[in-house]
Amino acid sequence: MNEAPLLQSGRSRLDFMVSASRGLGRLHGAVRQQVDALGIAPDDLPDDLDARDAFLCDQLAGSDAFHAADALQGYLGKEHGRVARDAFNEIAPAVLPELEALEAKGPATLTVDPDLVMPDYFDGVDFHSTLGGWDRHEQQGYIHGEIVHRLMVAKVFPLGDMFAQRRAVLKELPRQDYRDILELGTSSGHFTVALQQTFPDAHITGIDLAAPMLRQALRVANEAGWAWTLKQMAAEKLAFADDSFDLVTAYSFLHEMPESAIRAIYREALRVLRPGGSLLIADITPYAVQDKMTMWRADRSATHGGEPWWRESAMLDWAAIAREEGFADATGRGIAPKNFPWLVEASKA
Amino acid sequence: MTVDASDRERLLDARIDKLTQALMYVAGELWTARDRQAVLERILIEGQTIAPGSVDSHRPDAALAEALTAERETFVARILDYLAPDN
Ligand SMILES: C[S@@+](CC[C@H](N)C(=O)[O-])C[C@H]1O[C@@H](n2cnc3c(N)ncnc32)[C@H](O)[C@@H]1O
Repeated sequence: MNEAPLLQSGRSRLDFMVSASRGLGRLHGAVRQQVDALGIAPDDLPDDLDARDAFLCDQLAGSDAFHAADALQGYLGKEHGRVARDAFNEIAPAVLPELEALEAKGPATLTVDPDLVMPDYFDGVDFHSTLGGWDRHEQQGYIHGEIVHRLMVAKVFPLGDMFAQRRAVLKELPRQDYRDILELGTSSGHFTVALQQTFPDAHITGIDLAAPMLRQALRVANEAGWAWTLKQMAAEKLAFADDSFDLVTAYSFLHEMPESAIRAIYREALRVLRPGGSLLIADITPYAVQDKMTMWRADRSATHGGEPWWRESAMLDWAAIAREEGFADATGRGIAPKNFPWLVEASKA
Repeated sequence: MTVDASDRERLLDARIDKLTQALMYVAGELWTARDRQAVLERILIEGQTIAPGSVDSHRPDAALAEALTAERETFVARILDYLAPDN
C-alpha cells in the first residue's frame, strides 16, 4: 500500500508526535539513571507492582524528568489518535474512492457479523489510548494501520523493526508445509502479510472482532492479489469445524485480554487444529522474565497508556496455561536480545 | 470541598501535569505552523505559483525533510530541557 498521502498539517503533526515520542524515550532513560544514582538496586524493590510503583513514585518525587515523562505520555496517549484521525479526515475525499475500489477488487473476502456481541473486556475500550479503539471509526483500519503504525509507531518502536520481527518469528516454526493457516487478531494485516510472504502457497483465514480493521486487511490482500478469507469473529468462539487448520497463530494479541479469554482461545485453537498442527503465539515479554525496573517501566506505561489487560496478561505463564488447556507440549521462550517478542509454541498431538 | 495538605499537593501535581500536556499541544500546533511556513518558502523560492492546496499537498524533498527534522528535534529537546533540566 502506498504511504498515506497526508496533507501538510497531518504530516507535520505526526512528525511532532514522533519527535515527542523520542523525547519521552530520553526522559525514561534519564529516570532510569536517576534510580541507579539513588542507589536503588532492582532486587530491593517491592514485589507487589502497586507497592513498587508507590515506592518509586516516592523516591522520584523530586525528579523533573519523571514528572515530565508522565505528562508527555499523557499528552501523546491522548493526542496521537486525534492527530491520526484528523490527518485521515483531511485526505478522506482523496483516498476513499481508491480504498473502496480495493475492497471490491478481490480475490480476498470479508464476512462481517452484525450480530456479534463484543466481549466486555473489549467493548468501548480505547486500546493504547487510541481514539476510537479498534472499531469506533469506520476507517480505523486505515487510520491505525497506515497512519498510527506506519508513520508513527514504526519510527519510534523501542524494540526494533516491527515488520522484520513479524517475519522473523515465522522462521521459528517447525514445519514449512502449512496449507491452511488461521490467524487470530488479524487487525489491519501486518502479521498476515508476513505469513503470506513466508508461506506463499498457503490459504490464510484471518479473524478479528473489529470489522474496520479487517476492512483494511481486505484492501492489503486485494492489492497484493492474496485470497485471504477474513471473518469478523471472536477468537474464543470460532465458527470453524474441528481439525480445519494446520497452523493457528497470533501476533500481539494475548496482552489485550484477561486470562479467561486466553484459556477459551487456547481451547478453540486446539479444537480447530488438525493433529500434527502447530500453534505459534507471539506477544509482549512476560513480567516473569523481566528485571523489576524494566517491569515497572512497562507496567506503568501500560496502566497509564490504555492497556487495561496488559498487567493481568503479562503476569500469566501463557505456556503453562496452554498446557492446562490441552496443548501438552506447550513451551515459552523469548527472542534475543530482549526476550521480545515472546513465543508460545505447541502442537496438537 | 475541603482537602488536606497532601491532597492539595497531589491535585497541584495533577494540574501541572495537565498544564504540561496543554503546553505540548500548543507546541505541536506551533510546529505545524513553522513547518507550513518552511514549505511555503520553499515553493516561493522555487518560483512555483501558489494555488489553493499547493502547500497542503507539497511533499518535502529529502533535504528539506532532513532540515525540518533537525529543527523539530531541537525544538522538542529545548522544551524538555525546560520541563526537565535533569534529563
Ligand atoms: C494488537 S492488534 C493485532 C496486531 C496484528 N496481529 C499485527 O500483527 O499488527 C489486536 C487485535 O486483536 C483484536 N481482538 C482483541 N480481542 C479479540 C478476540 N477475543 N477475538 C478476536 N479478535 C480480537 C483487536 O480487535 C485487534 O485488532
